[in-house]
Amino acid sequence: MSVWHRLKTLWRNLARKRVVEEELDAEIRSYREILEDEKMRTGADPSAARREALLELGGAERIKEEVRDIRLGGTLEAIGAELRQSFRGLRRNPGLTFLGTVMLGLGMGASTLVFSIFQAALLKPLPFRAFGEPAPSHCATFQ
Amino acid sequence: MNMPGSTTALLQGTLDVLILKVLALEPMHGLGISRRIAQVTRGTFQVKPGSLFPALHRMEEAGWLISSWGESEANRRAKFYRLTKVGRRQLRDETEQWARISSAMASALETP
Repeated sequence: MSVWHRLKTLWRNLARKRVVEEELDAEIRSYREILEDEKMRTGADPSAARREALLELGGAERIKEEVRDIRLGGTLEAIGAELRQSFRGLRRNPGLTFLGTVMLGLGMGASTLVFSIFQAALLKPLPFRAFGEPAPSHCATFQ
Repeated sequence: MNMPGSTTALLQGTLDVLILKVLALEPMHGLGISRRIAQVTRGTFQVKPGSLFPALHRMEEAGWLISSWGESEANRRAKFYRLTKVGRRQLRDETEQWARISSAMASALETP
């Protein structure tokens, strides 16, 4: 599958979702109508034909759901839906959200503080020139 | 003929190649494809809309098919699918593969 074709499909699925959905709906509806015509040709009266066609089709929503699942970008769509639902959950429960945020903030602050002390005390060399190198020979050393 | 119980089980990958095969002759809409598959497999495969539509859309996204709206037999608007060049190549490849598989299976199962 060419990259161009994939990109075009992905763009259509994500940006023009309403059109894609309407088309799928129309397609399944037309399938049902042609099925009804077929039943009526074999002698069923309109209401029986309609019933039989619906039965043979199975749930239209389920079919749509399965088509949505295989669509390119279906995973992105699903991740987006999960995120939106999580945010709604957080908004419904502001106390817990606040507590969680404070806890996370405290945790991060505490770790940063401890690491800052550790780095300043042990990791960073002392602020002298050529710290950690052997002293040059002209410097006086203790014998 | 076949038992009713044996009509539903479709081998993985069978549906794609059957759809490609029936569309190689002429463009068709969903129900037409399903009926034609039943016809050419002598009723062994009854493709339900629940598996047909996902397959058609997947194959269209793969670039094997393209669809357009048209008029069906009884002046109904229907979405017609037809093969692309890539789809034809896919059909040729899968046909060869199926020939290999089925002859291998036949010789394996005939061995006493």
